[in-house]
Amino acid sequence: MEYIQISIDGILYGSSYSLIALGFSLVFGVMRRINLAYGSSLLLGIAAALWVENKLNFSIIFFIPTVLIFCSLSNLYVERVCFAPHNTKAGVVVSMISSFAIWMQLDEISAQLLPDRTHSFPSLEVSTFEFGELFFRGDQILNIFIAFIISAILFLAVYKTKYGIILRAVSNSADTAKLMGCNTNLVNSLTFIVAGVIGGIAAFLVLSTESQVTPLFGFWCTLKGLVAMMIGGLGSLVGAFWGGLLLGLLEAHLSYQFGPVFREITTFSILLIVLIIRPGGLMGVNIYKDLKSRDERI
Amino acid sequence: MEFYLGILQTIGFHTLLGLSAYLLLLTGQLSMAQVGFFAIGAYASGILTVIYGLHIFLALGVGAVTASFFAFLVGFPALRIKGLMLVIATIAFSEIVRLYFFNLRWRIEKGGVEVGPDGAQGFREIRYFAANGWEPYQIVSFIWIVVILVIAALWWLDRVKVGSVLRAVGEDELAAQSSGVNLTIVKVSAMTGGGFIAGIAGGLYAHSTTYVDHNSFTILLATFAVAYPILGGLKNVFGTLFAVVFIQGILIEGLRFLGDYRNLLFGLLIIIVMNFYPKGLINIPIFNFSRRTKKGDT
Repeated sequence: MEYIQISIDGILYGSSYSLIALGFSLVFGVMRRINLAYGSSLLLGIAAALWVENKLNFSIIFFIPTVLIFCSLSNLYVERVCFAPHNTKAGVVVSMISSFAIWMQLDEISAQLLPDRTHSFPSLEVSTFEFGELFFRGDQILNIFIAFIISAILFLAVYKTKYGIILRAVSNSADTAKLMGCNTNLVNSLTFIVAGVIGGIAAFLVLSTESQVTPLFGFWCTLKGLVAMMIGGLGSLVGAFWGGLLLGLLEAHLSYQFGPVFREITTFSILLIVLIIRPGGLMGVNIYKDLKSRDERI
Repeated sequence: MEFYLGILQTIGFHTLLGLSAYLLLLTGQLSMAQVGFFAIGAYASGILTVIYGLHIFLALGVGAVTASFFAFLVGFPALRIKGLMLVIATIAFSEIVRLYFFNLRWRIEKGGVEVGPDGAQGFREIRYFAANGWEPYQIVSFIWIVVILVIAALWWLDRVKVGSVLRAVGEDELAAQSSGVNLTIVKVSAMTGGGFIAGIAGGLYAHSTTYVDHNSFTILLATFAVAYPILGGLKNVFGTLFAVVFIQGILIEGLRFLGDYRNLLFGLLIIIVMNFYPKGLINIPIFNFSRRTKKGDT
């Protein structure tokens, strides 16, 4: 019974990783770029929304759209500054370093907006409930539900709609797509905006379960999202969802067995082993084989 | 005066760290593991001088060899994975090293005081320089002698056949392999060499700050290490040196009067340089001492 409870806790906690990994996966899938500033841009979106909320003092119904707007704006800023100027093949490394530089900038702006070390965050009033001997946290169930819905919508949008075809065309070969008349710059910007909206939802849900914001949230997001994405599969939306849940499950069990300090060590060891044995993640192998980027020099 | 010596020390370590990443970038490997080797060098040589009471030169050497041994081990899996996957895998390695030292507790009695690494408290008693009466200017000159030796070695490497082999692998692996270059040896030895340089840098860092803890070895430092050679350009070793002086000397120390707003400008300035000179600072005309002056020639 104990193990079942731990598994449930782990999976429910992992749903927040899934949500963040989805945004990462979208950007990686379309642009083949790693956005190191993703977590920080979410933190900035949250910080800006909290700052506006402090000034205007409005209810949570208006707060959520504000978070989403600011998250997508900060993501768009990152895209314009770091990714748009370097969208050639040689620019992969340069854009990563640029996104690192912008990471520090965004963290600093967030620190200016939220001067306290910890800042309370409006939490959704959802109670816990019991099922036999098992406990469930209502807000975490909401998380996993929303993560599932978002990944389903994204999956349908990418594989069943006309916009999805454009997205996949740009992802497959940006140059060919450009020759066929796709506006690749616009597609890239829109991808970042969508990733910002998803990230905003993720950040809101994660922070409302923890009911506080710390300046470390940005780094936490980047790291966990990246690890969950890599475990699940590069650029695979379904993989990102399962990768997050798997990461949550493993972390919960390993930290229960070996103590909380081993939580992070095991996370990274799993990541390293997965990368060495199946570079491209557990579910992304097929996608990865198609990818020309495998042999592309970075 | 002390302040300027401090800046010189910082520039020294960061140059060494940047050069270790530079050596790997020549072979086309973007590695964030440098900070892991840096940490191994720092702790290993610190433990040798504090607990075993070795001479500083010997301790630095053994620390560097230990770091290069781990780099050798990392080099083999790194052959399998390339590009952005290598970045993530090496991030995982660095974090595992950092978390290992976070949990490392090895306290012994020495002369009535307890010394040694103390988990999250850090490793506080690395007082070799103070105990042996080294003046600050001697420490700085010692660090810079090492830096100059490393720069000279890498400069010489570019003049001989080894340098061309490294660059050939970096430029096009397939072509290099067809011309009879053994990729395994080249890549693993570049990784080992990078680990050696990072290990020396770590030893020097530990001894001149007298205190290291896990917080000194975060991903931030790893990203700095790769940012230097990329910002500086891979044309020759001086690019890295310029970039370190530009970031550490001008951006970080020079903008100190701006207080909290420094980080805002810091990120933006790096982005601006990256936008105008994506191939590195070394391509700015004022740094061009070569006989050829043709535009676009890199």
